[in-house]
Amino acid sequence: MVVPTDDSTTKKQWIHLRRILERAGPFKDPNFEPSTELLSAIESVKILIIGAGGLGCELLKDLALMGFCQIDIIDMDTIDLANLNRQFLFTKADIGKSKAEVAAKFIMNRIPNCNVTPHMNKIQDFDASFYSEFRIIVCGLDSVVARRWINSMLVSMLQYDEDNQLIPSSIIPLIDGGTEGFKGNARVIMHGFTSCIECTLDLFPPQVNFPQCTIANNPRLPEHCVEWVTSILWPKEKPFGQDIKIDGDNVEHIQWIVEHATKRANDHNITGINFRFTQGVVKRIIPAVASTNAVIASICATEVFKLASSSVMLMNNYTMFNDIEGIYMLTYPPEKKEDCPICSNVPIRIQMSETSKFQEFIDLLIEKYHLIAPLIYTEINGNSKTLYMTSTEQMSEATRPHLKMTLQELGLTNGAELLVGDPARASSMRVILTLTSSMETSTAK
Amino acid sequence: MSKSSAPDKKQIQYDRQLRLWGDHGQNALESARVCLIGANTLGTEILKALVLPGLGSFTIIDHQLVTLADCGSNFFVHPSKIDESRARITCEFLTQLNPDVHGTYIDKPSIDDLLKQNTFNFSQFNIVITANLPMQTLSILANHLWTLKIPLIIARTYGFIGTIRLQVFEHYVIEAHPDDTIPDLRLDRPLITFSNYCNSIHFDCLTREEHLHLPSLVILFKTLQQWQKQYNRNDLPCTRIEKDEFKKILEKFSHHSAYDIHDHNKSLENFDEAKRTIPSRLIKTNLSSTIKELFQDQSCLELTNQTEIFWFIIHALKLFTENEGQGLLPVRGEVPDMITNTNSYVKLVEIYQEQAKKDCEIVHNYLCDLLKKYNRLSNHNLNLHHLVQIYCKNASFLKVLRTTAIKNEDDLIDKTESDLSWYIGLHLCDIFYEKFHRYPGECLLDEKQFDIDLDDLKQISKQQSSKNIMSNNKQDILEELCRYGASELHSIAAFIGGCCAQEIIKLITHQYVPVDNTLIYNGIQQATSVFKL
Repeated sequence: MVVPTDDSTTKKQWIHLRRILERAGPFKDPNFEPSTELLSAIESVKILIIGAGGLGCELLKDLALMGFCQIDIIDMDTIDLANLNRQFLFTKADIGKSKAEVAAKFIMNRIPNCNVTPHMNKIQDFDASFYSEFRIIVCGLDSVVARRWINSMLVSMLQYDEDNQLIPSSIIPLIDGGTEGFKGNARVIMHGFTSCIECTLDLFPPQVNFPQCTIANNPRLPEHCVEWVTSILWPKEKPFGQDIKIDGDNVEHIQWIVEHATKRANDHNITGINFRFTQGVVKRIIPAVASTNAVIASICATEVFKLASSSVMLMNNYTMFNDIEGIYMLTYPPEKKEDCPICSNVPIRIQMSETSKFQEFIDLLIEKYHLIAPLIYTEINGNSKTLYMTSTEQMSEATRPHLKMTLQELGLTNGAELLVGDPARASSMRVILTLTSSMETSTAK
Repeated sequence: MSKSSAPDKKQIQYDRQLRLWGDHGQNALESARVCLIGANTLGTEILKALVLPGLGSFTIIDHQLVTLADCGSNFFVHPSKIDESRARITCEFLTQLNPDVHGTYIDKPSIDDLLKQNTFNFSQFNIVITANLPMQTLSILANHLWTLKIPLIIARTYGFIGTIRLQVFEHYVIEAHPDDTIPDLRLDRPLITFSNYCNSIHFDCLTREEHLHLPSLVILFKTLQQWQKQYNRNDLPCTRIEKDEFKKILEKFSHHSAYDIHDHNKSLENFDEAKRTIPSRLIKTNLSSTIKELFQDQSCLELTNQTEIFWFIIHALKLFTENEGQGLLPVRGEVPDMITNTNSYVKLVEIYQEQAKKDCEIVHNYLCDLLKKYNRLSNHNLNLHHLVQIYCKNASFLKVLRTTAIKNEDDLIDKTESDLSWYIGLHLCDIFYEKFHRYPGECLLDEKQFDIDLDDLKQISKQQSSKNIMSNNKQDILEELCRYGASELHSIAAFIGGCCAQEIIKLITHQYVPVDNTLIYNGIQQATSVFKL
């Protein structure tokens, strides 16, 4: 909705922001120049919000009411009933519709003259030409993989001069927020200067996994019983059809799992299984409330405002928040890894013996660089060769024989350059292989 | 409802938060009534995070009309509603977020007149919230609510600064949900059934399978027993040397005649776990400082017919501790997961849960006797057992929160901690407002006025202070506050709004621990400090 406004109306409406933008103060950023033009500058800055869920809704509202009028928002999901306790731009009537589209519509209605462009897409649907349109990108994602992807996308867009120095104007600041129950974090990433997502992977909580022998033979907790049903019984009995996978939102699926997990639990004198518990384990549900999302999104929005206006110093640069006991907040700058495979702009070098099996090489890559399903290819004698790929059954079959071969047998030579792609990366990483002969390896020890 | 029956619509809607405060917490929230004074940006952001999770009802008190400036900060207004009742419009927009919530508003008389008339019944509310309420009105309200013993949350935003102040006569934290707890396993004061169970296990008689699956808790206890016997002690190893001695015995027990060389090269997971968990298992079991304080509290020692049930239960716990507990609280009953087979783990869980049940029963009996003695026993007894269970399980973390009443905070004026200086600065701005009926720097268009306002503000500061010279930091703060001119920045209001709402939920549900008692938020550095004023 566009409400015709004149300059004076706009000026009156945004008086709260203008006091900050049109006056300097002792805590401003050194680049700050108070000006009556800043408000319209903010209005035309293009911002991208990734995610229109718990954080996304809050971010959209916050940014719209901090003067930003050119906002794009990406989310591939549709609205669920369980979202409504915090994703406030949606009502019961919107269940099933696109989050991005409904969110955009609500905001444009409530705050006229704010222009929100929704994209019901995965972030991977877009390339650098899309992302380079934006001045600042803010994420309210619920997956580490997606964060790593956008992180690597922005790094791939960095430009360097002839002296291999980073050109600052090619940096698109990435502001990232995450919440879990009453805890949350927010950070400002300036690639090349601050740590990036990849530098700090150990800040993310590890995935919950149960050891196989516990699940199969020594269940002790109710979650072990649920895992047994989902990982062992379901694949065996295929209760809803040949190729039907478990759908955590399907009530009948969950009820079947509850029934059989309860039986296993009873056989072992374990208690505690019910619908809510079981669905929580199957979907790996993370508790969420409106308050934490409001807090974390607000921190992100404040930093976006500071970046766009320089009106006040930026935070430095990673904040952790927790209001379980009192209210606690800690802000510190995590260390940027000098050898970060994403943001340090140095190629990765791996040294292995030429008689090492390719499987060993893959295992090393996966472990060291936290890869999920690598795709490895190279050029041998001028021809492009795919060494490893698991995304289709056909390619899995075709590349499986490579696993048992040695690096030498594969045709790799010392100094060979491999390209490694992965779902957690927007672009392939360059790996330079140093191959030692078996003689060298043994004498080196 | 059977175990596998599907959740109803409300349970699905609130699923993500039910996992944090349970059905009983949700029921408390849905029965609660709050009053918000000030339907400005901050006030509505606070209510938003209460309405979304299903607050029972709210009442907004605000006599102002929606302005154009509101539209540049407040999410719950609209340009088409300018000059209409702000209380009515925000109430409408807020209830749209969750039709289950009942919202009402009062847009006349103003809060000042309501307080003058003194006929409004604040006792109908669980909690009262003020958002950027001027100091004079706030003092009168705070005094009134203190007398009525109704909790008050005072919220403020001012440019990039935000504050929250709790005024609570007495609040009980029942389920604290502490983030990191040491499990209550009592190796130094072992349960009799646990001792007996461990004594029935002999290392030389174990098969290879049994040895591989021996629970680390049993391993540690038997090692402890051996260490105590060997060194003629009845306590825990504490010095470095003693811990090394302990580890040596542990190492000895990890061998088994049936292990071949292959086994020796692999490490034994359960023994590794035993070693790894030494810091949290070999600790002295004692009363937490918080429960000790509660036991000494006047309200616990001097029960009357009018005393809250909380204190009766505390007193019952005290009696337990002094008698059957032999100086310790009822056993919590939870056993952390450990690497072992099903039967051994289930056996341990049974042992600890049985003891917890027994202890809880004793506390329950003490409670009933006390209630009888003070004529408080009634037909509400059916829920007592469940209530006692919750208290026993959380006994170590029970807490009472009593804050001071809001008073004139002039005596803080010379404190130098950075964030407190902002709080004091806001107080000076309040004094400025009382004098000039506007905030310093509020007028944007006049640069000269800004300088005059800043001078006046500094004058006020000098008058309040006992010091002759104002620090640079203080000067900077006053200048920055003048720059803000009491601007309500939406993102700062969203931060304070979210925090406040959660503090209110803590007070309503008696779960998690509230701030005691003042939070200062610095949006420039993204930092918070808490002060007990």
